Amino acid sequence: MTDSHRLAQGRARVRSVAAAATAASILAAAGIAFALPGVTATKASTSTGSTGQKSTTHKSTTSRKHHASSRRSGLTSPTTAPTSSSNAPQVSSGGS
Amino acid sequence: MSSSSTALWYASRATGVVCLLLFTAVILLGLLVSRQGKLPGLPKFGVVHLHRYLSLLGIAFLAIHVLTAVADSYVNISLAAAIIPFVSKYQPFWLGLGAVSIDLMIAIIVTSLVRSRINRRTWRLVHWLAYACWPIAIAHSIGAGPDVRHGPLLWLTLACTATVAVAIAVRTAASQRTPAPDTQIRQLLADQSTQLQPARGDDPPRPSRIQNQTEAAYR
Repeated sequence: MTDSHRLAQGRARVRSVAAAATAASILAAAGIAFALPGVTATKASTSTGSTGQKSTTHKSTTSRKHHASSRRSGLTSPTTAPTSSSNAPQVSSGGS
Repeated sequence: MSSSSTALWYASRATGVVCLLLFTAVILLGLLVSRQGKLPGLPKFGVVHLHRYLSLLGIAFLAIHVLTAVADSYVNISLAAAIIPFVSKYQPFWLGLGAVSIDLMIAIIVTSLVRSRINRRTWRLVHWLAYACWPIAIAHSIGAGPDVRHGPLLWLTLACTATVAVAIAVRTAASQRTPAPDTQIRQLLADQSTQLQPARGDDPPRPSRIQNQTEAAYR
């Protein structure tokens, strides 16, 4: 096998690894984006199930996110959902 | 409006996690490049190419991470706050760390893109900022993302941190035992040039194979 063949083969291998890395990154991003609501909802439910100290720590920054994730995973009843979203404008500091 | 904002928030979080993984891989490959190491099944130049490619891929994910955070209407993060440290009204310290990390990364990428036009020493000094950039980005993710403080994302962050710490320790130990291969080549070249000083009137010596290899490696 000549050097140029070996070089071409090496380049092809590098290209295929790069393509695999790109595909894996995109799939990972999509997978994490879909898995995150579950992770956050589990955390929210465990924090409200305990003393509630943890949930108050996160409330100032991510309370609406927890409500949203709970809605998505079906942990919060539909009747409570509008209440959480109606509180949102009071917490929000305005749109960008 | 609310669901799109939530989607943006999750997209920002997910791309942030992917950035953590990609930049961890970039740091590991960078350490491998500095020791002129090889990856199984890949040629030697493959490590350098992969290091460059993954860093650019990481920058692309970082751009999505920043843009989705800016576009999320729940919190008011300006685009300027992503670049200028500590000016954000929302979590100024933790977002400021993210901005510092982005600024350092921009410096590393820009100097790498114009590497052929700048002094190699300058490039190397700026490239060393990567060692500061990575832990600052980790601190940003732990401080700004509450879900990184618990569960699987915490374990992922700890695993990445431990891997990079071990790799840096191994690299430091190896460089103390033996100098880096490029230092050895430079030493060889210096020795060779003192031996091959042309006599007056002689043709200058032709570049040796090792010189060609060195130039090719730096190109």
